Amino acid sequence: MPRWYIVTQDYLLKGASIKVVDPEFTQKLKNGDKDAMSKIVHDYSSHLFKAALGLGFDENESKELTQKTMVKFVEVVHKFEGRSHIRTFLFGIFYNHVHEARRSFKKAQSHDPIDEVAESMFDERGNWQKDARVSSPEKFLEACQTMDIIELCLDKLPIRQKMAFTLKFVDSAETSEICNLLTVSDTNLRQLLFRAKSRLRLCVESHMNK
Amino acid sequence: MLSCKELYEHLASGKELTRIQKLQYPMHLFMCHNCKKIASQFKTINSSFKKVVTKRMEKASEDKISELEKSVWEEVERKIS
Repeated sequence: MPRWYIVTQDYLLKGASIKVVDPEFTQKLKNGDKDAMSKIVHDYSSHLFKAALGLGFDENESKELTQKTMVKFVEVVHKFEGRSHIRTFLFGIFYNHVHEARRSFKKAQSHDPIDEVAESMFDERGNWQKDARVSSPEKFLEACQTMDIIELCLDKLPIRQKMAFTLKFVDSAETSEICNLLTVSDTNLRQLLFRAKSRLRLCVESHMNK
Repeated sequence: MLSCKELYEHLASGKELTRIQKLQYPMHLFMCHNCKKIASQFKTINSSFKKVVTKRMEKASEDKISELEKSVWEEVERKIS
């Protein structure tokens, strides 16, 4: 059985009863069957709503994003080929709307100043620079317990980095599914995570030293 | 030899280590003070930020969800009928 047919992600499926791609169910959706549509609305509205809240949208924006995603789903479900899970298809629409809502979508951004900051911490042999200062784990943990710092640093992340980080470390989604959802390659995903985590770390450190 | 930079990249991006690097990894962490601290910081980042995001998601109470489902369904129903 192809890998994408196998459900591996707990969070998005919590409470959802559609476990695998079911051709009969897919056909019903394409035919605009009310029961099938109602099941999708019932099973996934809360997941979309929570995902939007988790990304830092307020309640009204999150509701609107959920609504828009579902309406778009109805419009484009005829294009669903059943090659991925219906959830992946739905969340693909959701992430497109998130990009639009933030209007900061830059596809596979090739330059990000954080890369240079991370690079400058090491010498040409890949060792830490002599003057590199890394805070102690205890102080760092203490800073991370301050909710304000965490909230501030999270919201400073560019939206694509935030989505990649959230899917990977909050939803514990499979790499293949994240790549599918964000339409990026493995290498691009690693770049997004590298930038997200480097940025979060530096952000917390800079607030510790204030 | 696994460099500090390679170790940092692995911790930040999840980039796979080669078989030899995997063997060198624990010894490197044992010997290198900064890498040890970085490894701990990244662990803290994962758990702390997960907590914040989860807390934000908890704003979605049962009441709000059922109200939302209702309005989404009204919109969807209008679209399909």
